Amino acid sequence: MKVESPLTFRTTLPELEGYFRPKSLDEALSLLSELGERAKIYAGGTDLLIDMRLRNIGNKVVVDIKEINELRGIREEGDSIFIGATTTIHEIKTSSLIASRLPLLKQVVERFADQFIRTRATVGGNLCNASPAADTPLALLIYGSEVEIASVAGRKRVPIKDFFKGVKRTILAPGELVTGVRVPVPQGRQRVKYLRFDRSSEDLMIVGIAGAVFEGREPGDFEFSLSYGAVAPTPLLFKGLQDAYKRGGADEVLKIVKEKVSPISDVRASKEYRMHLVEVGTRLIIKELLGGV
Amino acid sequence: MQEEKYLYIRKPIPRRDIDKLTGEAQFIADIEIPGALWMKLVGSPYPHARILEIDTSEAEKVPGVEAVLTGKDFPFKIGHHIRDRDVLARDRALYVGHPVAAVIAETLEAAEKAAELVRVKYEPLPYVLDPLEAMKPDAPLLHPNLGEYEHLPFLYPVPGTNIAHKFKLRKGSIKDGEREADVVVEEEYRLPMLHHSYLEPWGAAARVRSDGTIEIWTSSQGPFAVRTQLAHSLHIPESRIVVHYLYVGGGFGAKSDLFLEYLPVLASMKLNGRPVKLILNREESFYYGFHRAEYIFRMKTGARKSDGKIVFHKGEYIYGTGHAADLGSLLGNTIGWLATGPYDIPNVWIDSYTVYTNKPTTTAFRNYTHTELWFAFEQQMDILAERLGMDPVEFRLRNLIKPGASTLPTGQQISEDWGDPEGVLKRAAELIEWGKEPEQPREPWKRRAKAIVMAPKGPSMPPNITTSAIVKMNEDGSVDLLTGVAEIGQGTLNSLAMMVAEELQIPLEKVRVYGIDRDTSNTPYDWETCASRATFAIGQAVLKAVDDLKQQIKQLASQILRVDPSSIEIRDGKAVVKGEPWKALKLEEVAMGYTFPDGHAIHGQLIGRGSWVPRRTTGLDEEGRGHPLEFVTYSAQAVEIEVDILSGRIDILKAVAVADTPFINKILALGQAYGGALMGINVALREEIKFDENGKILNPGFTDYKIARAGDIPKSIIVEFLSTKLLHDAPYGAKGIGEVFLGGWPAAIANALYRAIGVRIKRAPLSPERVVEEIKKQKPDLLENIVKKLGGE
Amino acid sequence: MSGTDGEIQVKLKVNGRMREVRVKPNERLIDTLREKLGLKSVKMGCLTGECGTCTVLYNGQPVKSCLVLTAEADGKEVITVEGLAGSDEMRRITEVFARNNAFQCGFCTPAFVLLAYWLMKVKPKATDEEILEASNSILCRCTGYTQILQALKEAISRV
Repeated sequence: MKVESPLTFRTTLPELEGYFRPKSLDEALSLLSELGERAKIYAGGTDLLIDMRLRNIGNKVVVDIKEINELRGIREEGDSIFIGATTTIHEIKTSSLIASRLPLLKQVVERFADQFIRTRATVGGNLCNASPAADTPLALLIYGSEVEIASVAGRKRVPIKDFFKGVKRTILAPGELVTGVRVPVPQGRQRVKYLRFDRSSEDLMIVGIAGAVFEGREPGDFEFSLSYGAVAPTPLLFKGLQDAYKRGGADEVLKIVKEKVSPISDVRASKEYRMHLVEVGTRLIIKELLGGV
Repeated sequence: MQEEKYLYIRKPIPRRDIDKLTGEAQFIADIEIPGALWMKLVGSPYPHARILEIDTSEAEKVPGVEAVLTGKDFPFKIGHHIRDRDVLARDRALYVGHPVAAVIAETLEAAEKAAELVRVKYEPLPYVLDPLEAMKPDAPLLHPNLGEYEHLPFLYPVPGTNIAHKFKLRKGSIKDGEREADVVVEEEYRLPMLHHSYLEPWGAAARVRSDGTIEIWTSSQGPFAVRTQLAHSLHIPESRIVVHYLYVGGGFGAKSDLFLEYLPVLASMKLNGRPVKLILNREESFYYGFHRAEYIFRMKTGARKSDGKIVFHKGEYIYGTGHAADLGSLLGNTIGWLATGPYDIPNVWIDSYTVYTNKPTTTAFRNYTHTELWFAFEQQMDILAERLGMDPVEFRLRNLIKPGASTLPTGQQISEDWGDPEGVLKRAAELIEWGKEPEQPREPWKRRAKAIVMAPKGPSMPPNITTSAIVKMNEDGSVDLLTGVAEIGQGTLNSLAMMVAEELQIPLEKVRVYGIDRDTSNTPYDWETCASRATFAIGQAVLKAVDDLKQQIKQLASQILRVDPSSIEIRDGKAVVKGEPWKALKLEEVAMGYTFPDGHAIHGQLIGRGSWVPRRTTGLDEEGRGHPLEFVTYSAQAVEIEVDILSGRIDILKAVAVADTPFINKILALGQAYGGALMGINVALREEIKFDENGKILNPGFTDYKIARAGDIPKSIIVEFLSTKLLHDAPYGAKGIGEVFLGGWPAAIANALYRAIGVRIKRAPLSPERVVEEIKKQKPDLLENIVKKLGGE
Repeated sequence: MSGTDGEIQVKLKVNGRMREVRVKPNERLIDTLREKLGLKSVKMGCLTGECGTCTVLYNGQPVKSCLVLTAEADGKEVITVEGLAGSDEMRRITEVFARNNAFQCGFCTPAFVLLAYWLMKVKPKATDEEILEASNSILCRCTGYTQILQALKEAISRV
């Protein structure tokens, strides 16, 4: 005999304990510090409201960070580009700076959800939601980006490859806020390619693979990187694959990749199919980026 | 045909229901009923479990809660065709989501809060999810008392099993056929459960008025079907039930019968008549809603080498209906007598089974089992053709039925005026450029191919259903048209208005059609909007009503103008004496009868009425003999696809659909074609309700149940309407077109895939993952060779 | 900073008029528009941002209102199809939608009407690809999109 909590499917959102809309970063940080784990940051809302309705997130105090000017915008700062946390995916997609300097990021956001969602969804939200199937990390990882984090204790920068801890988990501690992401601009020529396998023209990825070749100063000198989405609890980055490629082509690259990918079976695809896509997708990207090298 | 003689018919007349553009159009969730309470359901987390105890005390304490109802409050079974549904699960819950309790509260918030506090003690029981498993003798039984259930006479439940209905069809002798056959193909095909994906989640509201009238607002394709089935289920006379018409945000069959309307009705009866509404959200539409069944087709078909004729077809067709067969049993019937598609086969043996499983229940899905059967049968045809070494189009041409000469497997004579199956097939072949090899893409991992299938539609409906229409004249010479048809997007009201304007030769603006300002008490009966029959059946009733009105106008005018009624014609909004056009009366002069100069009046308001019943149909006997069809709309569909062998993704480069029927309104007809085609293509490529091993739905929403977006439409789509014959009874020859464009795509795409890469997929959908899986099974070299070419030196 | 742990006063411009509503923090824009302001053209189809039937123009951009908390809408502007009544754009949209049979059941239609309006106002030179990209945000199960896309093209064409 079993007593079960009932199966119900909610239309309403859970009661929230409060809603705050700080106007400055300092205000936000002191509020977050005060609220601690009770706080839930609200930017685009495109993940948050779904999770709240499905009760993956319970009663929280919502802190809306969209009014904070310091968190908005795309700026060139020295050799890198800073993208504020509440910059929308649409803004990234239509930015000429991104198109010319970070073409892989542009390719990646072009496949992000649909236009009305892109108008709301933010890069900070996409990072902090920490979905294994998130699009933007795949480009940001390859560019060697750093996530900028602030709290009342101060500011820090964390390499994005260290930011994700697991499915829907990041290194963020209560009271911390992602203020943006800093993306170094490659100095030489870059060839990039994003391959995204999905079920229709708007879908969560089944597998996403981003690849880039950054050319060095000497002819024939290049750096080759790949990143993978939806094949492990976090997005995966493989840097410096050029040596393996030179040694043994795609077979050698795949050996390295396959050691780390560990896809699961879920409603979208089986583990076997995801492994298959890793295999053929990696080969396709290599053919596209290095076929002529 | 003299098309040009028409004022409106066949023309691309703009739609008139423009209140849908402005937000005026009201759907069930938009109407305000003063004092309405909210209902929220509580579902079973088990696919099969004994309900030991339900504790509602905590839920009842939530402020705003009026009542918490459970199965105990409704100690009876309901159902129209077979009485096998509980109002709320009583002794046992039969699927994950099976409603075991209903909370009724002042607000949705309170109802949702309370629903979470209902505590149920269960004893989990063995369950069965697969229809084939469910048919085995030792399978857990969903309905141990099946033998005692009341049901309609043409259903044959098998007590002591999970078989809710068995249908048999016998024609000729299979043994004779087997002796003659040189080639025999034996295969099994499967299709999964689908969600209709109407964009408007289902909902209903009800109240009991002080005079005892039960008033219902519901998102339904068939307000009268709701009334009939509710009356029958609850033993209430029809006259006590009033169902309001509303705009319906897509139905596709799901909203064609009684849905969950009985819940708010019974709740209102318990609560002294207070209005109660139940508006499902999307997840609830998946869990509590009605779906397309899953199908298994086992087929054995034999053909002769000498002339390429099919000599026998033996089939075991299985319809997995879920936990209730009330609505599914008829579909199990239909796959039985559709049996052999549009082909003339002398020896046929079909057993079709409607089988219970521990899953949500099922109902009609646009094209009523045709799409599913063609998926199996039309693949069977291509396989046979290949084994015979024949071109698949040629093979079909040799076996197609010949209207005027052939019969359906049920014995019904196929009337010559049903159309020309050969004609549609040949035209589709021309349009897809059959015989011309597609140009192959540069990438060695992509391949293109074409295929053509037959996909006719024969609307299945009870033989005795009737429909009526009333046309009444107004003082200004305008006409009001009143019918029972529900507007679910198809635009029948527009087509019917065109018919009235055409017949009376008056401006279209002068015809007003009752839309949602109707209910079942002030509207002539109509069965429901389904089976592609609205234009055909209601159109006939409308034409009769207009004819009746015209006779009255002529009669009256003849009295006034002192001529014989036969010398009067109606044109340009006038009754005119033939040959003497100066002798005329405007319609507004006779609309309310006629008043002579001295004040003396005659006749009164002019009101025409017309009724229709099927003329050609009968029920089927125990061996499946009888006349099930009024007509068939013949159709052929063709595709050119491109398959990416590496990812398994299939793109539709070109889709061709040819149907043999004229239409009433050109743009509305094209709308049905484009919409039907995209739905059928999406069903072929993507759609499937996925269950985990415990019967829980894994994709209860559009995030993981993918319906097509604008970005998914075929690169090119060509639709053509032929008019080889005008169906005798049909209004302006127009047969139904709401479903016929859905039917062929899954089979056509599967056949094209085989022609592209030699991989035969007998399971829908043809998702990229399934394509890769089958390539690996059937043609591993194909994949390995391409992979070798990639990246490796 | 603005904010509270109780109800929130929100002043927003809806279809050209200033409106004031008191909302709980968990109230969605779709709820406010439908239940408090009676704007029933905003449809509830999925509540997961997939179907787009709840689309409104929010500060001039098409946005899915089931994923917006009303509390943030203070000082913002919202347009629904009710607000287009009587405009030249709406007359043109009505004409091209009816002529092309660009709607059937009508449930997704207000969203596509708003998209047409937005294209006319903001992207009158949108290419076919841009129209398709924007249209991909709204689901329609009836039409197969062909006639909707045609209507959207005609809405912004200057013929």
